[in-house]
Amino acid sequence: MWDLLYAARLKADLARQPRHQNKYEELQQLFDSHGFEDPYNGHDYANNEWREVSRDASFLESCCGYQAFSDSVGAGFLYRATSFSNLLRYTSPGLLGRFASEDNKWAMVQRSQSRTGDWMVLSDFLSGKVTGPRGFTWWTPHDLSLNVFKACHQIGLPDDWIATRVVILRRPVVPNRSPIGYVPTILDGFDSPIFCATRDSALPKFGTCINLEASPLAIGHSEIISQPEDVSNISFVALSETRRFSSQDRIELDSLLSDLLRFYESLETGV
Amino acid sequence: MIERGTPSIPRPQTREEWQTLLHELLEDRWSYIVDKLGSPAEVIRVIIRDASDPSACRSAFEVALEHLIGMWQPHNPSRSSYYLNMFDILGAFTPSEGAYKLLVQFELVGSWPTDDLSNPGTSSPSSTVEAQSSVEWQALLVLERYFPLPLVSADNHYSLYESLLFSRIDSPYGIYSLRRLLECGAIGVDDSRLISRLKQQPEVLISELMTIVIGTQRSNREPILSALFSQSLQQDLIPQFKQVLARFNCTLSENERMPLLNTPFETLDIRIDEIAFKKYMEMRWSSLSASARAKELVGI
Repeated sequence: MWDLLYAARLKADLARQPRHQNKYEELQQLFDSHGFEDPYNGHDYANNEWREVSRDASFLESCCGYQAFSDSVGAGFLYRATSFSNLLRYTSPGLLGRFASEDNKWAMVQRSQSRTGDWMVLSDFLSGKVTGPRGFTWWTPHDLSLNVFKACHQIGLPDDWIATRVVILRRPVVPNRSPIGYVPTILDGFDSPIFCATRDSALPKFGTCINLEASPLAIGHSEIISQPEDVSNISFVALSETRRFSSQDRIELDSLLSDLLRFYESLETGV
Repeated sequence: MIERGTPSIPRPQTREEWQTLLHELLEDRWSYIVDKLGSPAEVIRVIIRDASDPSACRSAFEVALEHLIGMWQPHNPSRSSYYLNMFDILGAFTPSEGAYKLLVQFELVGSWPTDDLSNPGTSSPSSTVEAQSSVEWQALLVLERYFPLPLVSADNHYSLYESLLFSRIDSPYGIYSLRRLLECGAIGVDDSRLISRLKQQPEVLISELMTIVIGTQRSNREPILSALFSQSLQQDLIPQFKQVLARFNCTLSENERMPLLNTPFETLDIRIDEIAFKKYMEMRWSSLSASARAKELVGI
């Protein structure tokens, strides 16, 4: 099923962003050199090979999409959901670096959260810039802090990828037509089985998420990718998503594969 | 049957499935999902949260983990990533035999042999920076999770842990070991080794001890803070003390001429001894402007 999904995505991707055909071929050679057929076909990614491929894939020029500008956002903030573990991993240690374990760091953050009951300034806890495994991060104007699971589903994150220690990051958008990031390309999103390629010919101002709450799956909220952002520009809330929720609210990746396949097939010719 | 290495989260249910998955996580497989969620421990937490029966899932996991730790031979060289994944899981779930395995490795072998091609990792670190990137350092941090405060005195591995910390006082982990010994109550705030380090490396030691003061483990911290402030006064280290406070987003203030520490979370009394109080008042007086001194005198 994963190979069918990749094939469908590949067709849709190249139909919508044909300028990346050569790079996609290079990507395929990279997979071949590591013995992978595609990014998500059920291979046993042992011994960091997947990480190596992802890292090597950065030669494909991430953040090469159209620029996104602040006055087009139509919202006061951009949001990002990440796990606390990854937040620690992809920033530099500030105050939290003084504490030994992740549990202690999480306890510190929660203590502060219950004291303030509000968004906290990230630079009070961590330093440096917020980045990701491939040097960029994904953001959306959709407020993710209110109903985390539902909001994350609406931006294309299934339960599988929602941590128990969730951090919602928020950065302000000043409507002065300054560049705030890039429209994600198929190269930026090559490693995700859930990615909606925008159509180059439409000159998109933003990327678009897939709304996993819609049936059938549909294009959802906007998204952009951003190069590393200084922690001083970012505020955050820390949320424990350890509850068990009812089965009808669950959206697991395995249960989405047929729907995703249909979505990518429709995307090839769709708007 | 679990399909391996996909972008979906695995869904082990039985002990055997958990055992297989734990081995794979330690071997750095499932990289995609580990990268999405941040760590092997977070992957495990999400699996349990989303299981159809979380308590049964957790029980199967705990049995599998105990079995895995029982079989673990830390003296056999492993990739450093294997150790780090193991420590991540031990630190998060603290299976009972984990502390013993770590302590015995420290006691009998004394190092953490890795078979990384790029980093042999068996030589002793010579500096604190080098030490803090070592497998040994990570193992010490995991042990901290096994001995949280307040300590349970009946813990039969504690004496081994304490010996380990004492044995590391003169190593690059010395300041960390002193902090742990202090908060565990194995040494007092007037311990000569502590005072000697305060003179040699005031900022590093004060920084380490400040983690007790503003940390979430509350045992003993006001007396430690007070002693730290008193010692800093007596050793003329108040400028260094203040610099460290700024790094922790803390400030000093006063309440009826007694110093207070404002942390990001609360205000703590600093109850200093008589000698320190005299020194504090002298320091305070010398820092006042002429007009402030006049006001104080009128007040008196």
